[in-house]
Amino acid sequence: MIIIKTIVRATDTTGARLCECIKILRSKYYNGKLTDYIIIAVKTALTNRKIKRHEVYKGIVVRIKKKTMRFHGGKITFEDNGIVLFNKRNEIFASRVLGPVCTELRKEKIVKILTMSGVII
Amino acid sequence: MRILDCSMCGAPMYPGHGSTFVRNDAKVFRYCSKKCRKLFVRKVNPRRLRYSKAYRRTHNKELSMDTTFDFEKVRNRPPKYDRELYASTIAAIKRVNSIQYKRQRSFYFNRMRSSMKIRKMAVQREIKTNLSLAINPVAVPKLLADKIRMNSNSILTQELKLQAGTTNSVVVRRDQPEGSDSDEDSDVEVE
Repeated sequence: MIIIKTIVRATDTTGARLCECIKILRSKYYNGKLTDYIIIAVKTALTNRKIKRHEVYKGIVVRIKKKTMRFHGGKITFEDNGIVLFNKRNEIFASRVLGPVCTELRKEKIVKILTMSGVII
Repeated sequence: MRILDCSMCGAPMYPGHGSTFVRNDAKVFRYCSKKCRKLFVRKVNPRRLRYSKAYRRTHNKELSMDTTFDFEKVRNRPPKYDRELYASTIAAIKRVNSIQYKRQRSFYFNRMRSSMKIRKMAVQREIKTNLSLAINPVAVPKLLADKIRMNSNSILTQELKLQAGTTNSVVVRRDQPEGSDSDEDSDVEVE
């Protein structure tokens, strides 16, 4: 459940660490779920990388803390709220994705993240 | 579809039941219930939980080390369809299950042997002390009851005989599966 002002973690090699959700690209009072696009502001970042603090990017939700139903009938939770960042040209920014990634991305046809990540759950 | 085990208590989780938790190092934990999940959050060791499978196996409450458990494996590669293999595996599953059931029963009776003795002694003691309760005054006429009371020793011996008869049959049943188990699943092979 991601709303405005929630802190999410960037799980890729861009250099961004903690980000703040500014907007969810859905209807007005919508709580962000898996495979939702959101807009974030970078709060903390590693030095000497492309991304710096206070910059605004687009991202996709890849992991979520909230218990969600799956298509087979089970429920799944992750340890944190993780996102993958997008470019200004709507391309995936990083070259690698860290940590586990949900399979629901395949249904949304965002297969590139799945190929970059190590573990799909 | 797979029937997975709960990572806390070890109970089987059928599809559509339970919840999964994924740690950030990609380790997957499955819980059959909310109870199990909360215990995991509290970092309770499943070996100290009374109802968990791990506890019962470590404390010799259940059959733990057995060859029948080796058939249960996670196979990630599905084999090619073969009619003979398909038929043979189904036959083998039934055979292995029956053997496992027998062994579990024999294990249980061996575990309960000492307590069965104590229970038998208690029954005998009860009959000796409360023989008057065994004679129903409504069902038996008064004169007959007096006669029976006179020959109370004969009734005691009869009761004890009956008790011994029932217990002896149990003993026979206990011994039989151990002997019949000796011919093992040497002819069964599962891929």
